Parts: sequence; C-alpha cells; structure tokens
Amino acid sequence: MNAQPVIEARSLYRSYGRWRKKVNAVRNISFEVGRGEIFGLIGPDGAGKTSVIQILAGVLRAQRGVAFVGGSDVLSHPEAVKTLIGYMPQGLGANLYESLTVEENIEFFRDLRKLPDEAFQKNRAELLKMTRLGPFLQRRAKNLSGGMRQKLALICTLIHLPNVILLDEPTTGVDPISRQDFWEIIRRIVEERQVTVLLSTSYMDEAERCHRIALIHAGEIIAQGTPESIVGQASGQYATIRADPQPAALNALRGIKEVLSTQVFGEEIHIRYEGNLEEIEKELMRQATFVRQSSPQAPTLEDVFLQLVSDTARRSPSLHFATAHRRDSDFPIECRGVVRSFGDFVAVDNIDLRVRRGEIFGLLGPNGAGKTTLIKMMCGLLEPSAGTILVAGFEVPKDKDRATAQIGYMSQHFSLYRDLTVRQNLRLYSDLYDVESAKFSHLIDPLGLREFESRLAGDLPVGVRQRLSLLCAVLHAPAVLFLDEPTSGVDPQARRTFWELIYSLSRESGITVLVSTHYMDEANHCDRLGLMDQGRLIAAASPSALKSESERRSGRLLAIYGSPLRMALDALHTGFPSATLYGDVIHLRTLDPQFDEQKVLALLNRAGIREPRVHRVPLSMDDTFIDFIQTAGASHA
Amino acid sequence: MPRRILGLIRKEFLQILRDRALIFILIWAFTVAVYTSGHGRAMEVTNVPTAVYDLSRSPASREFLSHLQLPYFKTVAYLESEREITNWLDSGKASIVVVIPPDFQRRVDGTGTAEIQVIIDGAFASSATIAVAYIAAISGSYSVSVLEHRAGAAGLSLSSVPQVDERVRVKFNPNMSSTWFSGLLELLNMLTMVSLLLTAADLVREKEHNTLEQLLVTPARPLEIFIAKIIPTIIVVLGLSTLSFFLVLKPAFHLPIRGSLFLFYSVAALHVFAMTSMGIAIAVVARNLAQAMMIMILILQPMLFLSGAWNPPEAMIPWMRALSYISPMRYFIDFGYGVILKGSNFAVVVWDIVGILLFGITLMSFSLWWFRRSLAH
Amino acid sequence: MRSRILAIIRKETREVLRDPIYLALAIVVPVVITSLLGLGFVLDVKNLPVAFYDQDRSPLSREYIYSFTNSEYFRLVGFAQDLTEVDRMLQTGRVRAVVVIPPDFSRKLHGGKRVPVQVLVDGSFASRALIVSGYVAAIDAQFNAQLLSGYLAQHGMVTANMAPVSVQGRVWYNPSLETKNSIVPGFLVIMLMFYPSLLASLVIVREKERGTIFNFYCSPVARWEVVAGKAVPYIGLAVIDYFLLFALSLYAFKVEFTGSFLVLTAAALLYITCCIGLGLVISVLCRTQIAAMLITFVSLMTPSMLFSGMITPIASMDPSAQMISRVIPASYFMGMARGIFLKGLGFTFYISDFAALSVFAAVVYAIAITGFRKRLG
Repeated sequence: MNAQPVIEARSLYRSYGRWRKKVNAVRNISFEVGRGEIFGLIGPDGAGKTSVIQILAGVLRAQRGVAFVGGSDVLSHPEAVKTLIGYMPQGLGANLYESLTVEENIEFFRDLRKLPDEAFQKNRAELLKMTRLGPFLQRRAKNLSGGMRQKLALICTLIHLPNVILLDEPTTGVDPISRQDFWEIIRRIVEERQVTVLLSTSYMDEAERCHRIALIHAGEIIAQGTPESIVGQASGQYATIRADPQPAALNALRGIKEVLSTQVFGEEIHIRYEGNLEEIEKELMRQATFVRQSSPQAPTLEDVFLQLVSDTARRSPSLHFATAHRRDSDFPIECRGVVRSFGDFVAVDNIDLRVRRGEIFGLLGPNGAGKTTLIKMMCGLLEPSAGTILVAGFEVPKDKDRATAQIGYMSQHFSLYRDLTVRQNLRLYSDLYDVESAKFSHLIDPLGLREFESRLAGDLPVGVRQRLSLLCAVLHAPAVLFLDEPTSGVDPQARRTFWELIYSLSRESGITVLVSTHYMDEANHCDRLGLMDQGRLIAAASPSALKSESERRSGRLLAIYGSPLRMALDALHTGFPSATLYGDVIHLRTLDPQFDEQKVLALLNRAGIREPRVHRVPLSMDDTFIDFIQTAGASHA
Repeated sequence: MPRRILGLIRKEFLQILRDRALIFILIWAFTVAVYTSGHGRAMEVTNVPTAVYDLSRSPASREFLSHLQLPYFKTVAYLESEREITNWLDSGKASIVVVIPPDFQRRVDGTGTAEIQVIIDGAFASSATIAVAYIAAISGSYSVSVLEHRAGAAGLSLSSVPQVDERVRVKFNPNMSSTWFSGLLELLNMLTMVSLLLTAADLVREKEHNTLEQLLVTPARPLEIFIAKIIPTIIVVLGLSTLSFFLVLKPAFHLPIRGSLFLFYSVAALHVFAMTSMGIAIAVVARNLAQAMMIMILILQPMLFLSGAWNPPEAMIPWMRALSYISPMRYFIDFGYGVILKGSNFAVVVWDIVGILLFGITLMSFSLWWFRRSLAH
Repeated sequence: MRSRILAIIRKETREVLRDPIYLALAIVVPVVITSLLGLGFVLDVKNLPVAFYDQDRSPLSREYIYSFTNSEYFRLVGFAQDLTEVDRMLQTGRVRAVVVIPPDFSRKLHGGKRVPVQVLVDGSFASRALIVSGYVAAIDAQFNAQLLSGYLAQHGMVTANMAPVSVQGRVWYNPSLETKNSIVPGFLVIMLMFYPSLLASLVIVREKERGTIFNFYCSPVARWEVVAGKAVPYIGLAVIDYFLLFALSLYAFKVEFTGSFLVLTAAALLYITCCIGLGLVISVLCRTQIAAMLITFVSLMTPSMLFSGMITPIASMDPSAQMISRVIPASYFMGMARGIFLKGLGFTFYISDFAALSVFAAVVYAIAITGFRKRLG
C-alpha cells in the first residue's frame, strides 16, 4: 500500500434540517484509504454511511471538514473528482434504466464517460465474463433478477476503469450466489489494477472481506482497523446453548447476571457472558430446563459491533398479545396444488405446503423463485390460477373479507406512508383494523419506536421502518403473519432485534409466521425451511435436516487455506474442478473427506503454496442452499 | 361510517397538509389564477382594435366615426395611406380597418348612398363576424339619424317618425361584466381539474409505493378506499372554492351569489365526486403517472373546452353537441352559472344534477369492476 | 471521442420508444384533441336561440320577427305566452334572449310613432350578451332604416329605397370567414405549447424519483449536456406532432395555407424548443412528478388558451392581460402561425417574433441549466 492515501477524509461534518429538527448525519468522521485497499464502512442504516460516500463522490456538500480523492479537493472542486470515480448508489440497480437492455445500459455509461473504443471493448468483455451476464445482453434491465441487476450496475460503475470505486451497500438484497460473484469481481479488480475501493455494508461477514473497516454508529466512527484487530476488541465470552424448553431457558438466561446478552437462532441460543459457562449451565438446570448442549465460541465481528454500540442496545423485547378468539386450526397455512401463471410464465408451480400453528416457516430462494407471488396469493392479493389456499381456516381470496382480521402482512417493499409520521401511520392501521391503541401501545417501547414517534416514516432508518411495518402488521393480533423479505437491507443489530420480535410472537403468542428471505444466516432462525426455485418447492425441512441431507448427498465441506490464494485455486482445479473461492477461503465438497484432504494437501504442496491448511467445517446454510438448487437444476435439466 | 373510512380520510388530509408545494399550487390555482383569468377580460369580443382611414375628413365622417366607440371598438390608429392598411392588418395590431370614401359628406348631404368600406382580418373569423354585426348596427343607426335629418329638413315632425326603440335589458349581469363570467369559469375549471388530477395522481402514487397493496390486506374494501379518496377531495376542493368566492370573486369582482350557496355546494360536491370517480378510473387503468397524465389530458382538454362556456353549444355541429351531453362539465357549467348568476333553484337545475350523478356512478362502478378484475389478472 | 449529449439523446429516445403506450399517447393525443376541438370549438356566435313574446300578432310584428330569424345570428326557438314563461325560458338557459313585442306595436308604427321593444338578454355569459345586444342593434337599425325610408317615400320624399350609408365589408385572408381557418392553426399553437411542456416537465424529476439522477451527478457530464440531451428527443417528438398537426389541418380540415412551409417549420421548431425548455425548468425545480404535473396543468392549460391570442386579438385585451400574453411564447407563435397560414407573410415580417422567441428560449434554458445542480439538497 502506498504512503499517499487515495481517499482522505478529515473531520467531515454534515447535518440535515434546521433548528429543532436538526439531524447530525455525519459527525467528525476521519479516515484514509490507500491505493489498492478495500475499505469498508460498516454500520446500521442511518449511521451516516451513505452521507459519507456521497460527500466523497462530490454530490453532497459537507458543512465542515476536508476531503480529498485522488489528490483533488472534493469540497472545492467536485467536478475534478468525478472523472476519477465510479459511484454506485444504494438500491438494487438504482443507476440502471429499466427499459433499456443490458447492452444499452453499458453503452450509455461508456458514452457518459467518453470511453475510447479499445479500452471499452477490453473492459466490457472482461466484466461480462466475470459477471456471467454475456448471454443476457439483449435483456431489459427490468427483467433481470436482483442479483443480475446489481452485477450490471457494477459493470456500469466500472466500465470506465475508475481508479476510485465508491459503492453504497452494493450487496444489500442480493442473493448469496450473486454476492459471491460480486466479491470475486471486486477482489480481482483490486488485485489486477490496484484500484481503491470504499464501500458500505451492513453484512458483517462481508466486512471480513475488507482490508480495513470503520464501524460507524450515529454519524461517528467508533472503531477503525483491520477486521481481526477489531474482533480483538471484544470483551466477554461467547457461547451457544441448546436447551429445552427454549422459552423457559431464554427467560432464565435473561435473569442471570453473568449473561450480558442473549439471542435466539432457531434451536440455539447465543449468549455473551462473563465468568464461567458451567455456572450458567448449572443455573439453567436449577431452573428446570434441560441443557442439551453448551459450547463456547469465538466472537465474531457482529458480536463486537453489537457490543460497541451497546449503549443503544435494547433489552430483548417481549411481545405478548391477549390473543383474540380465532378459528382454531392446527395448520393455519395450507396450500394445495397452488399454481400461478402470468401468461406463459409459471411463477408458482404446483405447491403443496402446510405450516403448523406457532411455527416459523422460512421460504428460501433466489430472487425470482416465486416466493413473493406465493405470499401475495396467501394474502389474497392475487388469485391462484389453480389450487386452494386456506389461511386460518378461511379460503382466500374467496373468503378474504373474513380472513383479513387473521392476516398480518409485511411486504418486501416498504409500504407505509412515507409522508406520515410513525404515530400517524399507527393511528391509521389501528383504525383500519378497528383496534384500540391500548391493545398495542405496550409494544411501542420494546420495538424501540418511542423516540421516533413524531418522525416521518420516510425519514426513518431502514431498520426502524421494518419494526414499524412489523407493528402495523401485527397490531390486530393476527393468527398468521406473512413477512416478505422483511430484513432486506437491514443492519445486523436491527435484524437481530427483528428476529427476536418474530421469535417472541411465535413462541409467546402462538402466531404462525411465514417469512421469505435470502439471507442464509437468517434461515437458521426458522423452525422449518422451504427451498424454492423456479416456482417449485424443492425441499421443506428443518435447517439441520436440510444440512445433513445435503452432506449425505454431496459430501462434507472442506475449507482450504493457502497463499497465494489464486494459485492455490488454480492448482486445486486440476484435481477438483468444483472448488470455489469463498472470500479468503476455498470451499470444496467431498464425499470422502479423509482421502480428499490428503489429495488437496498434495496438490497444494506440489504447486508450492505457502501454509496450506485444510479444515472440515460444518455446512453453512449458503452451501446447503446452493447445493439444493444445483441438484434440483441438474435433475430438472 | 366505519372507523376504517374515517381513519383513511384522516390519512388523506395529513398527506395533503404535509405537501407544502401542493398546498401552494392549490391555493394559487383557486386565487391568483382565478383573478388573472377574470381580470384579463381575455374572452370578450370587444375593444376590437380598429384603424380608421378617413379620406373624407368632413364633419359627417367625424360624426360617423364617433359612433365607433367602446366597448365594441377601440380605435388604434388613423391611417394616412393605403399601404398602412396592409401593415396594420398583417401585423394583427388592427383587426378591422374602416375606410370612409372622399365623397362621404356629399353623398350623405345629397340623396345617394355613401359606401363605407370595412376591411376585416379574417384570421379571427369569429370576432370578424361579430365586428361586421357591430358595424352594421352603427351604420344602421347613423342612417336612421341621417334619414331623420332629411325628414326634418322636409318639414316632417321628428316626433312622429316610426321607429323601433330596442330597450335591451341584460338579465343576471346588467353590466355585462365578463370578469364575473371568466372568473367563475376559471373557478369551475379549476374545481374540475384539481379534483381529477389530485385523485388520479394520489392513487397512482399509492400503486407505485405499494401502499395500496398493504391496504388491500387490511379489512378495508376497495369501495371504502375509494370513498376515503373522494371525501377529502370534496372537502379540500370546496374549501378552496370558498376561498375563491370570498377572497377573489366577491371582493375583487363583486360577483353576486343569487342562488342558494347550499345548493351550489351540494352539487359541486356531486361534481367533485364525479371527477374523482373519473380520476380513480384512470388511476386503476394506468400503469404509471406519465400514462395517467396522458389519459387525463385526453379527457380534460375536450371536456373543459367543449363545456359550453367558451363556445355556445348551439353553434356546435350536431354530433359534437350530442357528445357534450356525456360530459359532466357541461351540466356543471350550466348549473354553476344558473345558480350563482341566475339564482336558479333546484327545480331548474335538476336535470343537470341527474346528469352529473349518473356520470359519477357509472365511473365508480367501472373502477370497482376493473379493480376486482385486476386481482385475478 | 464520444459525445455525451448523443449518449443522453440515445438513451432518452430508447426509453420513450420502450413505453409504446406512452409514445402512442404522446403522438396521438394532440392529434385526437385537435380534431375534436377543431370540429367542436366554434367561437362564432351564430344561431343563438331566441324566443319572442309577441303581444301584437300583426303582419308587421311578424315581419319584425322575421328580420331576426332571417339573419344567421338568431334561431327561433319558440314563442312565450306570458311573462313568467319568458323568465323561465331565460332561467333554464333554453334561450339566450327574448324579444317582447308590445300589443300596440303595429298600431304605433303605422301611426308614425316610436315603439319601445324590450329585449331581455341572458347576461351570465357576458361576452355573448354583449354580442347579442350588438346583433339586436344591427337588426333594429336595418329594420328602422327600412321603416323610415318607407315612411319618407310615403310622404313624397325623393329618397331612393336605400339607406344613406351602406357598409361594404371585405374580408381579407379568410374571405369565406370559415372558423376552421382560424381555429385549427390556433389549436396547432396551443397543442404545441401544452404538450411538449407537459412531456418535458417529467423527464428530469422522474430520474430524481428513481435515483438514476446520480449517474449525472457523479460523472463529469456538464449541466448543459444533460439539459440539451434531455431536450432534443422531446423536441423531436414534438416536431413529429407538429408535422402531424400540420398535415391534419391541411388535409383533414383543409385549412388554407398561403405562406411558406419552411418559415412556419422554422418558427415551430424555435417555439417547440421554448416550450420544451419551459417544461424542463419545471422539471428541474420540482421534487416530485405529481407537483411537476400539477404545476404544468394549472399554469399552462387555460392561460395558454386565454392569453395567447387564440380567442381574441391580443390588441383588444386589458393591459394586464397583454402583459401576461407578452411573456407567453404562444402569443408570438400564434401571430406567426396564423399569419403564415392565412396571410402568407414571409420571414422578414416576423424577424422581431423570431427574436422574441429566441430570447425566451435563451432565458428558459439558462434557468434550466443553472437550476440543475449536480448536488443533493
């Protein structure tokens, strides 16, 4: 890395609004990014990440401070900076023109940058190859999946070979396969051309792929350094506990002084604690819960982040409803042979599904798999082309008017009124459902909405918006709650809170929850998962059952380390064509781990790779999912 | 009324109040725009710019010319040569040129006929027709005075000359103030335009922002959602009309309100209902705002300009006139002028009310049908 | 080197072409509306419905009535039997005027006396009332002149059976005085004002709403390049509309065209450029599409009709209205279009109008370019 920083921000300050409504978005932010470095701004929504990037891109004026990009003063000469940078705004393909084709979009950006033909052809070919968008050149942007859109947006941002790349939440809302491609492109470009990358993200696992990161909270940097050095700042210990019955265990844990925080992941409870884990285990046993397993764990970046911002961390919420009378049914959600087609396109293909009462059922699948269509049909927003749907015992959409009182729905897009305040939105929904505010006012505090009550919904950070949407969806105490990608673009802290809420709704109030997501880590929160691909439900089982099925079919997962990584991968490809790069690790599936471990080491050694290591690691939900999709695709073809 | 509807209505109000630019445009439309339209007298076929080429320059010609006066004619120039005639007419600075022959005095004094030439700019065909009529009236009355003079000269008593004396009494608007007319017209136009635009744009936005979808999952039914769009629009538009009446039309133009304001407001409410229903119908059909906008112009422009206010329906070709019967604007204009200026009562305007009502109900039914259908498709 | 403007033009053009419904509407709507209004928007005040309350019922009163119905101005609707019916007829708007003939009408006239005839005119449509009284005066004057010359002849005066003053009207430019000849070119002007502005008013604000505006904010593209790139495709679209409207007026409405097509096209191009610029200014200054649309509708729809000189010559307007018309590009192009269509005037005659439009264009684009900031907030 060069001594002279490419990006330099010193004491940046930016506020919005005036007087009473003044919001300080950026407060005294300083950092430097060197040439060839990937620098990540990590933080929840509303922390000020976007403002910082926009200031550096020369589109937002900073009120105080100094900013240099490539040696030019951004604040006094913003136009000079614009020739150097590639900027990708937040949102899935937000810089794309929907009605233009992939090719036409790329050409537009070429011309906007007056790129010479030769450089363009070379760069275009390279980027298309990396993104695998070559076959889709004639497709219109609006017909691309979310992941493809984002990759196209990246091509458009990089087409003019900028030396400085500014990416605002580039992977938010992108499915895991596309995210992997995305990081691979960034890594290759940085490696080959020594460009400088500044990006923001709320995914902690992505933060680990940056050279250096800055944790931003409420407009200030609270920690800065390499991911490892920041993880090193963790205090306290971490552990995973499996206990029965889980709600009782959770309650007990919250009562123990040594336990600093708790979080539920499906069957597991993650805790941060001080002192002795065995003592905690004993205490749990004393309170009549059966501890099946408890094991200490290394802290993750996410843990550190949550710990550092703990001043705003809330007590784990508990949402309890005096549940209204509802038609009892053991399976509040039932689909029989449900089909939905739009013209020739079959969006949902013959789905049979039953969800038990109180269950959290996760619908997993890439963008365009048919999840949203299915959920809309269950909410009575779309009529199925064939098949029957029963929700809380009522057939929809035939009996929709009676079913609505039992249905809570939170759509993929923020769908409350942006120009109304939080209080006004709540008032509207309580009127719509004819619910007195006393019935749900006790939820405002645990959801952390109190301080935002008189803010406009459109001005809220995404995480707060989602909590507001959730409250609007459940304030009438529905029997069934449909959540369509509820945490898309939500920061980890907010996501964690959000899942605790859902968990408490399901466990304490017996609400049945159907949630769609493409965050694989979230899949672990669900009791059962349905994997969807191309309109079909290709599997439905508990997360652990899915993982073991995948392991049985496609083998164990090996994590392979070594340096240089690129050469290691090339070497491995001679023997294992299926080896893939995953961040700084190469992943390989094997049905015969013992034998293949040796073979891998042999290959790496022969290629002269330094420090080759092979570990057997548990299958992540990502891997499981990708495996299921590929297997289904193969059998389908 | 169910609590849901009240809740939705409150929401609409909050949204309108939130948008300052919108409030500004609305108030501007109902005050400044109404004032400029009424004040400009841009619709009168009066003050016809007239140039005079007097070759006679005699007392008789001056006498004749003195009849060319306001409000019908505005003498803009006295010409000196033939060439100037072309100039003035070409440039449009004069719409008619009156040429008085050199022998005017001699002819009038004698027994012959003096021919006055009037050259008219046909580019304004309608004002030309009217100007011809005015001139005919002037020359007629001048002729009569000449004849009377001759009769007097012949010793006939002037008091015993047979004459028809027209006593024109203009009812409802004795001063023939066009500010009343244009001001009121602009108000009625704005009332129509704003009701349509506001509702259609609002509903399209709810579609684009997914808020409509969220509403449909709640117990609110489509009809309730529509009603909750209509009622606030009615209140807002009627409130703005009140502003227009009492801030502009009455104090600035002294517009009389002869009929019952209650009747006016009730039917105006019906009309707003009809227009919001149309806005809803457009919004449920259109995919985006740009499309909705195009459809709105396609309907609004003919509706406003063929309402009978700008041009008398009796002058339209028959099938056009028949077409105007399906426009609620036609009934509303008829009604508005009837109640405000003529003091018409309910019995007089009952058919206008029926027309507006039928129109609104038809569109509302269409919207509901289309809306339900779109769920399946 | 590649041109950024060309890139923006290409992109905008493609986007327009990809929304066929919108494109079709943008092209077809002006043509449809011009056809409708060209047929229906008749400003001639002719065939006004009139009724008589004839209390005399004599040959002379019938002759008097005939002088009304024989003119192209009035159309006989019926006879009233009493005064209440007279009132009702005016109240309901069935007639615009009622002529009340007194019982002693013929007796007095035969006796060489003056007879007052009451004419009740509906004043709610003020300008029409004024015209009606003008018509009545014209008819009466003629009738009186006839009466008088008859009377004089009776008394042995050697008057020819002719009025001493006669008016010889000559209509220039549009000798047949056909309305379409002035209305259709007028609507060409109005359409080319309203439409292009409306289309352009969304183009920049739409990108603001979608977020694609960042592509311009964050690239080295100059502000004038963005404005020019956005303007050109829409100018092209409006030029297509111009050609269609021109063909429509020539071939469907058969409007006489005596001037130079080249000069008209050059003027139209300049005018369209102005109007697109006007829309862009609105687009640059607004934050939401809804606000942009409302402003364009409210500020352009009726003012473009009222103050452009479409209906009445600008010279006959109130000074304040003339001021408004001076800042509306339509009023310049209105004069040019009608002049070139009907008067066959050449370029040299319109140099000052070309200059005025050029100044207008310069100002509008300067505002659009300086108003477009490559920054947020």
